[in-house]
Amino acid sequence: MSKTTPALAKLKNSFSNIKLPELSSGGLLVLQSGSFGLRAAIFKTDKDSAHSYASIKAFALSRQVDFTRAIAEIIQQLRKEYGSVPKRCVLISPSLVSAILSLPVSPIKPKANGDMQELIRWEIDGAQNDDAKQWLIGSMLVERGYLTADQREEIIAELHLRQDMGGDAALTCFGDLAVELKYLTKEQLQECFALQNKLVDVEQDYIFGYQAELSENADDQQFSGLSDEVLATGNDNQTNHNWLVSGLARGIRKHWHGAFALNGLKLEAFYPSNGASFSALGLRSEDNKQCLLEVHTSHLVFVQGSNKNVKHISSKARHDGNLTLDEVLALCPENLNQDYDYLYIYSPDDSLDELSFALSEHLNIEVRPLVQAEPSFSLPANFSASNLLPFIGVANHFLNFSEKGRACSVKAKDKEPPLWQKLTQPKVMISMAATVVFSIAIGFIVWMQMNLATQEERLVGLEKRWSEENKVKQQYSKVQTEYAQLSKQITELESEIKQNKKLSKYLKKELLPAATTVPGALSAIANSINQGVIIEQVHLQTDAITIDGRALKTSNASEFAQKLNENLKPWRYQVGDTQSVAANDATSEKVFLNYKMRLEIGRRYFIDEDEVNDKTTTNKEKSE
Amino acid sequence: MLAKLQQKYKLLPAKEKAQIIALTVCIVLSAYGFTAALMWQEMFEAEKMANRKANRIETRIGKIVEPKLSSDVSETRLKKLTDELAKSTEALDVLTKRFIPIDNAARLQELKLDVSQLSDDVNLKINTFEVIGIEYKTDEEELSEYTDTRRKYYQRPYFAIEGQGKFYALLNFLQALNQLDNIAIIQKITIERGEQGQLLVRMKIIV
Repeated sequence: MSKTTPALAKLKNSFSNIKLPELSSGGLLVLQSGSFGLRAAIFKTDKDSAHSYASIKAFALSRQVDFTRAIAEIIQQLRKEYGSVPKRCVLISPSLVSAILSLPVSPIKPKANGDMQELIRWEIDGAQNDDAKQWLIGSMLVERGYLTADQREEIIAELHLRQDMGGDAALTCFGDLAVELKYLTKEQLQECFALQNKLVDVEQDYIFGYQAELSENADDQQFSGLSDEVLATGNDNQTNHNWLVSGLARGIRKHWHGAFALNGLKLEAFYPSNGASFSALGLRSEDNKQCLLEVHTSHLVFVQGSNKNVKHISSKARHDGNLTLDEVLALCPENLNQDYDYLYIYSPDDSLDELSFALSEHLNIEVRPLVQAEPSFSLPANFSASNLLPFIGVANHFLNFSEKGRACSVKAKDKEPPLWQKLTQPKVMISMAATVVFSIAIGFIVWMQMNLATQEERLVGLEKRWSEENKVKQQYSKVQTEYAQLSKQITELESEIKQNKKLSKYLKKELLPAATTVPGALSAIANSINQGVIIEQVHLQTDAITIDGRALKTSNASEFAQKLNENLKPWRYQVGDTQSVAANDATSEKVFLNYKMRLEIGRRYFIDEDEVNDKTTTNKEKSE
Repeated sequence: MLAKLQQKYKLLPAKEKAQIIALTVCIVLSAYGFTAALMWQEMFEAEKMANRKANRIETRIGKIVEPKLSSDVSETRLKKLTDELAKSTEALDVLTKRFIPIDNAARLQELKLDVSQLSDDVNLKINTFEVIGIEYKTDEEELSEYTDTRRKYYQRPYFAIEGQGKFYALLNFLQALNQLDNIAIIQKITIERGEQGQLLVRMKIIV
């Protein structure tokens, strides 16, 4: 048990040291650029009982001069320390200028962005030049840590001495003298020159962000202090309104945006370094009137305002050497104590205790330092936690956890115009038209090729079909011809056979039998004559026989007819109509018999049973 | 090479650039038009040929209908009928071999002579002897109408004879007539009693 407990504790400890990457990509990365290089802090939204706020989670810095490499280094450090890096970024930059401008634009009827840009550019013209001293190479070298303030003083003194002496020595520059005195290397000097070139835009083509002054009345916040009439009519009677504006050179904005994009981050806004801590002051003080003195290496910034708005912002370049009371008083009004209870001083690198005391005595106001407590994570060596205040102020402002009027940002990228506007650009329309024409032209060629292939394939198919169907048709035609010929031959043969049969029947039944029938019939007639009968005329044809004669008695005539019928059977005759009529005259031979008789004999078309029997018997006898 | 050309192009004045662009567009359009025209021609020809072939099939072949053949029409039946015809013709030849050929006048005259001699032999006195129904044909064309020899048996020439004699003479004549080489068939006969036991006879003898 005693062995397992330390092991369990060790395991528990090692598990607690494991930092898993956050599943959510939410949060905000706030960066600050300056002569020192690039600093960055990760912020996450936290909540307490009253409200939400952005709290700092990790910090990193880079001294790289190149924007892209500096961002890459920062990301690498933050990943190592925190696990994941938010994609959304804002940048605090000394390249931005800030001012309070009175513009003839009502907050309820803001002008179009283009018009606002023109208006601000016109009005801010004087404010832009005050900050120029912060880019002096001496200030940059001190801020970057290559020179101490004393060394800088020494170099300036030597420079003045040489200028007084005149000659070639009077032309010596600050940087060259610092190298000559071996306070820094040539590389360090070149590095600062490079940074200077990157941070200062000589073209002075600025893009501005603007924020209208908010109503001081808490209950009236959503209406910006406007009356019913103004809100109903949309006509603001007030001629001018105060606007907090910030400006940034387009070239610098483009460079920064590209650098962030190359690192896979989305830069959303720029905030000015001057007055950035004023936003953080609002998180700590709920006074209605607040004033803040920011002490930077090269200049001073004095900000006055309320808990909602910045009312006044001014900056002044510092003299060489330590900050003096006169320098501060040149920026702060003498009667400050009439409006404000406290004067906050933000000086992250120097506590300025003596100056604060002197200032308090002179202005008769309580001077309070604006400082930040040490965070839970470790900070780099010689890095004051108070340097985080601009980060905190900007993060809370960007995430809408502090009043919007306490800072003003410049958007990192111009708002994309609507699609229809993009499409109606002449160049786009020409490109589209060219694309359509090109597509149609190519499509036409492709269609022709496809149709050609289809038609050729169809032709091959039709040729094959023609060949096959023609062959089949010829075969059918040949079969039909042969069939017709055969049919005709058969019909002719049938006709011939029929005619042959007909003739054969005619010969057998009618013509040839007459050769034997006539003599036979005559013999039968002769054999049938009895004593009382005289034949006067016999008319014999193939089908019929007519006999005219005389009979002594009707019985003689009947006997003749009866016997004749019997005798004619073999010759296929039969007695038909007979007539016996009493005679009044004698025959041609003067013989008188009492009756005239007439017999009509016809063809016999049936066979008597006796005859059949007789024939059968005869055939048998013949065969025997 | 391309980079050099690009460099040269960039150095050109704007007017010359525009001219080069216009020239290039014209060349591309011309090349496209030429190619498209050639392809269209080829496609059109192929389609025309295919349509022509389809039309040819439609008009010359059309719908192929399988011929309907009866089982009664066959080579076997033809042979059977041919055999049957041969048999019937043979049988007919047997029946008609004693008939005088229609264009054979010599045989007819011989028969006439035979009938006359026969009447003399049996003592049947002939008063009238007529040969009726002979149609002389002048040439082969007319004779060709009688190629079907069957027709002549339905309408034969005949002897019309009037005579007189005793009954037995007549009977002998009739029986002897049947014994002649060529056929002579009495189709019609009228016998009347005459004077002194003589019979007046009128005969129609088919030859």
